[in-house]
This record gives sequence, structure tokens and C-alpha cells, in this order.
Amino acid sequence: MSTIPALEPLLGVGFAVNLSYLYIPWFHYLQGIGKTAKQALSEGTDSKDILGEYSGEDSVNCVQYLSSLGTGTKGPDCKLFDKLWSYPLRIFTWRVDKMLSVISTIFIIYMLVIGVAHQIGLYQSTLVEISDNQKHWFLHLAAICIISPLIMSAIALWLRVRVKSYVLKTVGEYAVKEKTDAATAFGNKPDI
Amino acid sequence: MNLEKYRNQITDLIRGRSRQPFMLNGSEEHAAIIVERMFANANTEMRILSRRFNPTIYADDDVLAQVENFASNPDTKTSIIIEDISDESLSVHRLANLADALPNVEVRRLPVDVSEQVNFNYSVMDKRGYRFEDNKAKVNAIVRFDDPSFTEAAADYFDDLWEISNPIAIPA
Repeated sequence: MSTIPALEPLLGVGFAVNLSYLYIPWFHYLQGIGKTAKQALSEGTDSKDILGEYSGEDSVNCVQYLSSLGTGTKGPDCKLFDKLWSYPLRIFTWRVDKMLSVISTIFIIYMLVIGVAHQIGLYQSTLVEISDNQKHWFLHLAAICIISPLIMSAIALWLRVRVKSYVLKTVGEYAVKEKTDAATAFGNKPDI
Repeated sequence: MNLEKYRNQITDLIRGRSRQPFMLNGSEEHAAIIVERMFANANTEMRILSRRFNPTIYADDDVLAQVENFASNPDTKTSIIIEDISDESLSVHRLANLADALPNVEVRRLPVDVSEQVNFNYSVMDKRGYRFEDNKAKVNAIVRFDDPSFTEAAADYFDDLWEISNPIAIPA
């Protein structure tokens, strides 16, 4: 007897999770990360343009780049390679998360269709010959399809914390520069 | 950013409730909100040193309303030193005209030779906080309400500038 129909409840959950991941705005993590950067920026500045005075400096480019994520506009190039979190960030900027979810969804649909076909006695030869050794691979694959959006959610949450901290730190550094510039300008005041 | 949210943020900054102890200001419309909030939260004295007396900032409806409200208390004083603005522009400047009508709001003009040496502009609220432009040719400024020594020095220097500035009559 085919083991594929037995996986159907698990596959059903995976299908729902992945479809949610693709379509529900809450899971649009790239926009979420960009929004987090913008919110952090707004805690110390009135707009991203205030840092334009220092544009060309990498940290400013990176703040502007992070704020532009998910907006459809391309921010300036920046080098975040010294940051550990810049690597998982690429999962979202390169849309790897969405691609994984699409592949998972297609795989799950395929498995569900085959499972139903087996239950009603069609296409019995398709995937029917799953050995005991192979069974756990299908189970693992199905589990990965379910878990991957949840792992992405955890990574995105961690990234939002890192991005917020990076933007606040960068804005703080420029506030110190501005304060120093103010003190210097005031120090050069003419004697009355 | 939503301007209403920004207004609340500046109020929080003035009251020491904001996460960051400063605000970097880079646009005129946000500068107007900062000035408006300073007037709204000032107790006794507002000092403003402004090169152009930019109407986008200082003749904004909300700013004018707060200036009027602040000046309605006779114990308050608003001192404004302007630098590079023509009499013609001044005659149609709404805050200049309002100042002309209010006894405790005064506008003076900084002598040109001093103005040429002063590279910055600023506003001081009481002696509690400031908005400071280190380059008066730009709108970029830092706003702080947690820096009493700088605030006091800026206020004292303003008072020195005030003494050498010339009272002006707003042209009709």
C-alpha cells in the first residue's frame, strides 16, 4: 500500500503554512526589515535625507540601503560584509525564502495530488515503490517544507533586531558628529 | 514620517521621554514642527537667531498660533535676531508682523559685520534645550534638550548678540 496518503495531514499543514508565507503580508519579511530600519531611523532623524550630508560613507549608505528594503526602490550599495547578519539578510534580499516556499508548495501539491490519486486507485506506479529507507526522506522533506517558513520567521525576527540596533547605533554616531560640529562652530564664534 | 507622529516625538524629546536624546533635523517642514513644539513647551523665554527668517519655518500657521499663545502670557519673552532678510520680505513676513503687534515679541537685526563672522544659527527654549544649525546656509540641525551647559552658553551668547543687534521697525 502507498505510504503517501498517510503524509497528507502533514502535507496539508505544510501547504497552508507555505501559502500563508507567500501571500500574507505579515510574512513579507523583506518589507518588515525595511520598515524596521525606517522606524529606527525616525527615532533620531526626521528623514533619511538628514544623513545625506554624509552620503558616500558606508554606514550611511547601509542605513539608506536597509531603509529601502521592500520598497521597490534600490538603495545605495553598501558593504555589510563585516556583519554576521549580512549573510542571512541575503536570504531575503535575494528572495531565497520565497523561492524555497514556492518550491515547497509545488512539492507539497505534487505529493498531495499523488496521494489522492493513490487513494482512489490511480497512478499506482507513481512513487509507489518507496522503500523503508526512502520513507523517512519523504517525511523529512515534508517536515522541512513545513518548518522552513518558521525558520525564516525566526531568522527575520533576529535580523530585525540586528538591523534596528545597527541603524540606531549609526544614527547615534552621526548625532555625536553633529554635536561635535555644533560645538566646533560655536567655539569659533566671534567675540562680542 | 507622519508629521503628527513627529510632533509627538519632539514633545517626548523635550520632556525627556524619547529613546534617543537627540533629533537630527534635515527638512524645513520638520524644523517648523520643532520650533512650534519649542514655543508650546517653553516657560519663559524663546531666543531665535535666524539668517533668513525662513517663512516656511517661522511663518507656519501652527508656529504662529503657538507664538501667539506663548506671548499671551506677559511674563514671557521672545527675542528674534535676523540677519539676511530684506525689508520688503520682512514687511510680508507673518511672524514679523505678529511680533510688531505683540509687546513681548521683539525682532532685531544683527549688524552685517558680525553676521558675516557667525556661521551658525540656533533657537534656545528657556535654558532647557536648543535646535542648532552648525552651518547657517543649510537647514540641517541637531536638536537636544539634555545638554544644559551648551544650552546655557548658547543662550548667554545670544544675549550678547541681542545687545549689539539693532531694533527694527517692521515696514508697513
